[in-house]
Amino acid sequence: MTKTAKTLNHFIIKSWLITGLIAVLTSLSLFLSVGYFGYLKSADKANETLKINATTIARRISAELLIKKNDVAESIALKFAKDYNLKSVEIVPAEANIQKSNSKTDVTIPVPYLENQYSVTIKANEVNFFEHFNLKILLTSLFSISLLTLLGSWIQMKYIYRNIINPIKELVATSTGEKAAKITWPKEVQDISNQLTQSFKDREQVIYSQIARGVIHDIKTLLQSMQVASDLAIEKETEARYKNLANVNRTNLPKLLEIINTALDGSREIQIYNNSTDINQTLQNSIESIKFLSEQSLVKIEIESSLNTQNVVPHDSIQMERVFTNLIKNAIESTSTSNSTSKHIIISINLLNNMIQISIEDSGTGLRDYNQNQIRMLKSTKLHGSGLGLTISRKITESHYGLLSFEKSQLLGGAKITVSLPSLLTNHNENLNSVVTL
Amino acid sequence: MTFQLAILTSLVLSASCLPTTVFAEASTVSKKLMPVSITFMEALAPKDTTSSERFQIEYEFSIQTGKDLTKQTLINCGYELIDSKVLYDASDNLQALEQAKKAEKNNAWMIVGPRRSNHYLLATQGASNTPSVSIMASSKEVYELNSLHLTMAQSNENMANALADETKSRLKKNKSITYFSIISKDCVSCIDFAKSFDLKASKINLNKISEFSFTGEQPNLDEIKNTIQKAKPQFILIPNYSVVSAHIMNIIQSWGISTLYIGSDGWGDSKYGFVHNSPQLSKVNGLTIKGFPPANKGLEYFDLGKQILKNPTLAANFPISGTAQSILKTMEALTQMLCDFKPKTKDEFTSRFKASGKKYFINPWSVSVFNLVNGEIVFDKTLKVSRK
Repeated sequence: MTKTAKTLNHFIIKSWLITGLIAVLTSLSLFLSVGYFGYLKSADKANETLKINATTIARRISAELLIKKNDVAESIALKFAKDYNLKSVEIVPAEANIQKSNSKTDVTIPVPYLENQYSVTIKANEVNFFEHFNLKILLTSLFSISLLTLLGSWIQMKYIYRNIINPIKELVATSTGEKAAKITWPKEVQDISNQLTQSFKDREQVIYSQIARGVIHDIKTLLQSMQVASDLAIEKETEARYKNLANVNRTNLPKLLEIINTALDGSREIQIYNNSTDINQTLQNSIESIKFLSEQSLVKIEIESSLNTQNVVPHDSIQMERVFTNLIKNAIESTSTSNSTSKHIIISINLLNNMIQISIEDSGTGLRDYNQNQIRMLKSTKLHGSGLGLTISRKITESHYGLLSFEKSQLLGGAKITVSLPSLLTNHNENLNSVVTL
Repeated sequence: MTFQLAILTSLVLSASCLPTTVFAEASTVSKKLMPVSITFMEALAPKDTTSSERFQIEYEFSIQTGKDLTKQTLINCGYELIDSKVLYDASDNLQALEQAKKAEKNNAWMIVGPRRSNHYLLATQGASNTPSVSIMASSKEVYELNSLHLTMAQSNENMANALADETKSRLKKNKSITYFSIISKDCVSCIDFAKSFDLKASKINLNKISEFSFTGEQPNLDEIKNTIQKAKPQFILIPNYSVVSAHIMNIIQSWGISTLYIGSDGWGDSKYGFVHNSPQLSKVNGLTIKGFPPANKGLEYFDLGKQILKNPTLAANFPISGTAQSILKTMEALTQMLCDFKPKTKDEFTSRFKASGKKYFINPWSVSVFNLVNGEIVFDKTLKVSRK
């Protein structure tokens, strides 16, 4: 399940909400802590006051009991209970002092000078726990936090939109030269705009040079093939050689025309037409067109196929022939320049999981870096010799819903480039007729 | 306070230069004097700081006056009075016991005070083996103590009887005389006085409606409002201390009730007792009883008093309260005892006191009637009563 992209507003609001939530939790914690510790402090203070009052009360009661005014002592006990807001003040026998254990709200102390006879038990009212939690302050605090959060997020959205998002939106236009970066933009955005503009220019240059090289390369390959056929015919004017020359011309001239027409109209688009032909034939055409070069370079080409029958695969035979031609040519050039004693290219065809895999392994110098992402870069990295450009080959392959992958050849020690194409027309690749944009 | 004390002390010193007739003349021969340690104990009310400050000045002045006036006599008898004053918090009665205990431990020959009966009773428990004299305690329980513990005051019974008679004579025009009692349970003397009054009242046709008892100094009287308003008693008995009594009268006056208020010597004296910034009190009519007349009359009854009266300046500045007179009389009695028996030790003094103290520490003043008029307590007359 793909996730839908979130807007910047979402992140701004979320960041403010998180901050607000932290503030709320902090306020709440402070509120509860202050209230609780306030309660504890009040309870302790109440207990201290109780003990002090207990002493005062006991002494006063003692003064009456000593002069045998027990009824007055009782009245005084009641009065103190009222004056000090106590739950009760009781004169109890002395034994009660031993039995009772003092708590925070109860205290029993002996009556001074009559310890053997009387004690006074004083019970205070419990300190109200909830009185120490000032809800008004909490609500005020929460309200303030909410207000700040809303205001902050609104201001930030406005500010970021004006100073960051809008400039970023215009980066597309600035990178293509439609618009210039404004001085009022943040410095970082201006730098990015400049970098993008330069990158766009570099990319254009690379693409154009790639295309030019590719075009020249393709033309050169075809012309070389025609040159060889002409040379053979001139060398020995036999019917067979003239027929070969005618065939080569017939095959290559339309291709040349196609390439030149594409280059002349300045298009960076390659039309892909699905002819659903035998892929083996396309490959063979490619090998044939490059055969002279392999012979010249003394590179042996072997073909290994696990497929016995014709394999009709949905593909544009002309464009894929270009791809195969250039991959094989690169392999020949790499092998011919290598120090390896065995100059070998193995081309293998397999069917695996409804994918036709055409692998071209060589005993050449191999690729510097087999990182697939490197292949994608438009910069003119010197890959596997010069050539059409692996990028264009990759784009043509990918437009066929295929894959171009690179690895080291375990067999021959050089590079192994694999072209994988769907062997069947399915819902996935039914729109094979398409345009590849370079 | 220090400044006032200094002024009064200088007056006393000038009075001490007067020749004495009762007490021996100065001896030119220096003798080795036996120190006699006397502890003067009294309670101060911390909540009523103004009243306490005034009382303290009066109290200390009286003691100093007594010391100065008896000094030479004591020297001639071979004694020197060493006084220590202990003023404690009136709200903590137990201090009376503790301070008395301390005084006994410090080998005091005699303890003077406190005034209040319940405090004095506690003090006698704390220093049960030391002679003591209260300057004003008057409850029945005080009179029931052994001969080591005496009081200079008239008994509550005498004062209550005199008050009942006086009240009857004031209201004799009324066919039926009824009264309501409001009594402080904190005050032993007040309860005792009220009981004696009720007993006498029942014999002379003064009819008691009801009684309300309370504790503390600011009682809530709401529950008796309707009773009093309905019953309209001819008089209300409030035998309590001054501050409490004034508070009660204030409240009842505010109910619009017109009646006569009567009380005991706990009402105190004019300046210190009733002037508490209350406009209601100026309209109150009252009647109180004391064991002392005003000083200008009371000083005539004993030698030291007469000595003061000979010095007009000193006489004019001498406190008019019963406390002051009582202190002077107590110190005169002590001096006489020491000179008569010449005890060489505290124990000897104690046994003499036990045997004969009652003959020396006697109230010479009978019972005096005072009126409460316009917020002031004003002397009316002295009545003759038999000493009890």
